[in-house]
Amino acid sequence: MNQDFLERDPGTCPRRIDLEDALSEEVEGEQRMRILRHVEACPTCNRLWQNLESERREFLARHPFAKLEEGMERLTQKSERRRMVLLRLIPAGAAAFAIILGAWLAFPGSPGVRTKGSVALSIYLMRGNDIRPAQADEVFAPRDRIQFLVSSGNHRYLLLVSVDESGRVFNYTPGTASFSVPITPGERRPLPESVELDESREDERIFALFSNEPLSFSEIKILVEGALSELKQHGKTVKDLEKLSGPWPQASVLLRKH
Amino acid sequence: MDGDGHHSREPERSEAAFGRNPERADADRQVEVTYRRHGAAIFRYLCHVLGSQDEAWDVLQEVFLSLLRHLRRGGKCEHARPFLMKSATRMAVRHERRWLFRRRPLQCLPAGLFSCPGFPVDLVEAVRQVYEVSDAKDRAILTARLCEELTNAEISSCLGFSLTMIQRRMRRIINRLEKRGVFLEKK
Repeated sequence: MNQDFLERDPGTCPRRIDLEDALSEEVEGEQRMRILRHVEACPTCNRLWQNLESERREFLARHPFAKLEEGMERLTQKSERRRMVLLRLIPAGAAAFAIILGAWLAFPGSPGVRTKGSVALSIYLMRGNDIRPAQADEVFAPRDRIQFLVSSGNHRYLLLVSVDESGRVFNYTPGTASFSVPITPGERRPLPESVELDESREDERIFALFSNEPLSFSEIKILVEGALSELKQHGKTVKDLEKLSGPWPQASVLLRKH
Repeated sequence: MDGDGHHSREPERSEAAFGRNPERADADRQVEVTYRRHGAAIFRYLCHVLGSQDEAWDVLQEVFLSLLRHLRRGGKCEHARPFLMKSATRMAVRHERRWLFRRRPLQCLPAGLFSCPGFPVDLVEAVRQVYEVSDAKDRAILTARLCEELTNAEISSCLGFSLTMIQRRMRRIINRLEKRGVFLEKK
């Protein structure tokens, strides 16, 4: 829950929806005055009130009313056009529907099916008090905390290693274990422990190596260092090091820092 | 426009702008004031329900267009927030049905909900997974319950769903959360 929500006293403090009603003048008179008096006296509600005000300001700056008017105009024109087209093309539409239905029945898809044994690595990011899944193009900052989630079909061990631009190899395996640690197969399972990023501004490539026998970090370290130095000879960077040579299934993500 | 098909669009706007049709101009002005007051909150709510800012913006336009049409037809809207919430919920559900066969990953989650002093990834991931597998109605109810802290009766009056439906869906949501280790207080 929001930190302000955690700090506030549910017995006396109004809920966020009540604050929003007061802010948007949805409630008036004595009820609004009571909320405003409380907001002045309570630092937690005051902070929440200011957050709501700034959120509204930012929203209106990003989406001014003129933009909404344009959108509404476009929607009106679109619905008019659609009505006209539908009236003219009902017979053609019925024929097209029959063809599509036939094609769909002939070639059924299977959305949402996961390949057995596929592996994946994803990251959760905590910046300030905000926790969210890291985006594909996320830029990480010093003091960000990250936690890894792994998906694995049937592999029993995991080794998590990273390499940065200058060739330093780090061990992100839970407990900084020198060998792979046992994992439970499943989708997006959070690993224990989070990692706080240091001041380094060098991009980092993280590899999750899945196996049915434990792997040794020291052996993998040599392999990673070798792979990076070979790439560097061709003028490439860790961004290009997407896969390590080895028989084990693996997944990798890039920690972009600038 | 609904119910005024014999007018072309351009003269309507001009009349409103030059005050020759004061009722229409009033409706436009009221929509502008309502947007400034409630736009941000409804947009945030739609983001949570639809999981995408782009789609939330598309639906927000439809919501305010429906308000504009309602006012231009001479309808009243004394309490804008419940009107907009009901309208937004209905349109989000309709929007989701249009994309029934396209399951997309969530771009947006209720950030306020996931802001906390610790780093409980297990809980956040559990709630995220429940959002991901829920339909728009369940997401609307979950948002109202977790973010706005509403009771079932309040959710019913705020979103326009029947109390029985809220209770049925709430039970399903609670089961899904409990399976993932998140326990809600009963309200």
